[in-house]
Amino acid sequence: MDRERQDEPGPRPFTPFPEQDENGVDLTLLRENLRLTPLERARRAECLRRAVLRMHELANVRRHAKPS
Amino acid sequence: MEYVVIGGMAEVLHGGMRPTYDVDVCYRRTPENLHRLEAALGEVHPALRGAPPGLPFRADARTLEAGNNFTFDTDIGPLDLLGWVEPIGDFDRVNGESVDLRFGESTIRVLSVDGLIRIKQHVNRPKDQASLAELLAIKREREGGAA
Repeated sequence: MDRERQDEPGPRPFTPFPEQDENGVDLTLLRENLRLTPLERARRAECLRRAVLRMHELANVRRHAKPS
Repeated sequence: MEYVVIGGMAEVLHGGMRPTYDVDVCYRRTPENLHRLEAALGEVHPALRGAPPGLPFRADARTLEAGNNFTFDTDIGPLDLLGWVEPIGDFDRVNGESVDLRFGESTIRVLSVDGLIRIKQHVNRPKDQASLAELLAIKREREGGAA
């Protein structure tokens, strides 16, 4: 019994990095993306693009805002 | 209109995760297609990207015929029209390396992952190397994830 327990693989060590290939491509994210349809991928890219632009706008507003 | 989506948007449609801010298409340069292209461009008000403001420009079939590759700013964002794509060639060659992807209720013609890999290997700028790594990963995942 104890021997069986010893042979069981222990918990995987925690790593802050997701699964990557040899070039550093995030395979977790890639696989998730490959499960989407092309239309869903295009919509997601458009959402991300808008989010980046919106963040940029907000950052500029804050930067140029006069302190009260 | 006969065209193939290439470049960063083609990568996105195949599953790429790198952001893209323009749409690149390769178009057929027959008179009929240039007239269709002129009509389509008329809807999005193209201006030559980087040209001085106010420079007179009309994206009609005659202008398109006189040029080959164009970079536009349009109402829907940056749009690049390419009549020739290195190292693949003209529309017929690019189309020959392309696939139909289901896009909602219709299909969209997109350069294949292998075709995109060829371009990235040929152009080989730092940003292409990053794209190439991702395209190779997509190809590998599709082929079963073998290293």
